[in-house]
Amino acid sequence: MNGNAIALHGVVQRFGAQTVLDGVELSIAAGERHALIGPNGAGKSTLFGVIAGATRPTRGRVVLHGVELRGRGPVVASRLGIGRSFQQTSAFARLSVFDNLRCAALHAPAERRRWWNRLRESASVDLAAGRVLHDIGLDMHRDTPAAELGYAEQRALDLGIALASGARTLLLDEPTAGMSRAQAARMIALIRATTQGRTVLLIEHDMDTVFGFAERITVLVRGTVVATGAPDAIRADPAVRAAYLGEGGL
Amino acid sequence: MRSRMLAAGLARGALFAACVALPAWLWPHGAVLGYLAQTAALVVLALSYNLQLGTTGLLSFGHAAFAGLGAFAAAHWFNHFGGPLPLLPLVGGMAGAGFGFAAGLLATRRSGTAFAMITLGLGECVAAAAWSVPAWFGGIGGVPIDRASGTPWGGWHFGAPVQAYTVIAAWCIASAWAMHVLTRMPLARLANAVRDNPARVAALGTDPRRVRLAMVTCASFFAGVAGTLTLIDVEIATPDSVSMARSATVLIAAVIGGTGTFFGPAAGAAVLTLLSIVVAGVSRAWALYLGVLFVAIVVAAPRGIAGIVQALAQASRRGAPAAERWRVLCAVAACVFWGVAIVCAAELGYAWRFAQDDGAGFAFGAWRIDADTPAGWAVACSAAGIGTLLWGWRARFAPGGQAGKREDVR
Repeated sequence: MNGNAIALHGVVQRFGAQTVLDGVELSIAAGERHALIGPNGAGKSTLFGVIAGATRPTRGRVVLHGVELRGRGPVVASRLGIGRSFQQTSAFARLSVFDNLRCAALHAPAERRRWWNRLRESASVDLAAGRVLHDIGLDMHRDTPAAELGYAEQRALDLGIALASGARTLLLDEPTAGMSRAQAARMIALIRATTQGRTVLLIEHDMDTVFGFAERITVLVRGTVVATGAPDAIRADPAVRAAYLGEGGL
Repeated sequence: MRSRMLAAGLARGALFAACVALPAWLWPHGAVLGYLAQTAALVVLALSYNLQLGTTGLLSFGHAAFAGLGAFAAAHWFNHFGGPLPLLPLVGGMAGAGFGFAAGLLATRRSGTAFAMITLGLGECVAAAAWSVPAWFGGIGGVPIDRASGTPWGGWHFGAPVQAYTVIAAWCIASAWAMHVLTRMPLARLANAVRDNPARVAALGTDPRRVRLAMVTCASFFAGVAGTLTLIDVEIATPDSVSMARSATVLIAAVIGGTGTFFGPAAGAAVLTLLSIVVAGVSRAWALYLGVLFVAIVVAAPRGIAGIVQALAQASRRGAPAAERWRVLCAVAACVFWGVAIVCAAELGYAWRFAQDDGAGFAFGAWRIDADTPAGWAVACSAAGIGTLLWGWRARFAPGGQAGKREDVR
């Protein structure tokens, strides 16, 4: 294994005549906190879909923890260690918060092969779900249906589902979208605290939180990677300033 | 908390078992047993249907096909190999599960409308096959069995209705218990997750199709059991048992009862058999009442009878706000008045219509109301007016109004 959690080689994604991703090269080392930024329509969420196997790229290779995905879909991608949160909150609306997490914890690498877990409650699954419940701070909403949570709580639960699935690598698609600044800061602190030792690839719009959180940043503009590097280098990069930060008003 | 929920579950289970067993014990007459046996079979079928609709979110239009196929398989098995009658539902269940698995391989590739359409097509195929392959399905006559011809158990030959009903009731209770256990398993929780958000389940690493297939197979097993219970009751498997009408019946029963709770569909099945047997004996308009009830439930009480019972229990608990009580009271009264209005109008209409055909007097019911005079229609109109007025009042009780809105959003 070459130590890369995610490696993309020449990924091209076309929808009809429109080219959304145009030869994306990206490698993310295991254990890294990486942020993906770019203006609206740059193809960030599409790139997430490609990494998570939800969309099959028109061309190019996706290598997850040293194994090539070959367009085998989201189930295989998640078995290769990819966990995902969604841009639109994506929990199981009519299940309680705890049951949401129990469903996710059933998929942790240690539990996955135990088929009898599907037939009877397992103490270890419940324990893992309970731990995540505590970590994301939803203890008091244990039995609340997910649909009845507040917005920030739903986002936390979305993160919690990804966490409880035990994935080594987490793709977080704008976890702070639509939040106030204070809520966003709390969310980033939560992500930082709960993803210790895992690889994180994060899409984010709020520049300040990105620069404070990520070890490396990739800037995606119109389907191509403009720059990858440490936050300071990105901030100083003239191409990035021209293409993105100028528009962002930093 | 947990022990209280366990106690509530036990109480519900005991109530269910009592509903199945007690009436037969108190009034062991042919008609009562026939009604109970039909109800028990439909209860199992509706509960199995809800494993798909409520638990997994799969709307099927061909569920009766698996019940019917199970019944035919069981009938052929019984005629060829015999064996004890009490174990026959197992044969029907296995056959139902086999056909369900095969159909599920195709149907569960998709969910939502596509799944519904595929099941509609498959159900239609089975119904057509039932008429066009008389060698297997027995043509119009169906495949008869003699339930007393099996291996006797402890002196019981199961020819007598009471003995047959004992088998049916035992299987009904056992199946309901097994399905209840199934809906408490992590697998069923995963099926709930697939219902709510299949893409997320796929992202977690479980193929939603496999979960759907597992649930469809389980549901088809119990459908096969239900079909065999009908077979034991009427001693014949007919092509009607795989018809679209039967599939519609079970769908209506499940929705009327409420798909959100476990025992809801059982209540729906009981109401539906009550309408189709007891009311059908009194009035020709029973199918109309069923249709009106179905539409009313879908529009006004999407959680079905189970939801209505929960709302009543909420309102009658100690310390419930007065506004909530008034709200529920108004709703119940409005429903009663509307019911009177619809029954009056329908009965008058039918009496008028058939009186013209038969040339008899324009009269119906115990009161001998003349359908030609305006009195009956006046009753219907005023009842409808009062019902509408009460329903309007109901909206005034503020906290309930909010609850209604929240339900709509969900």
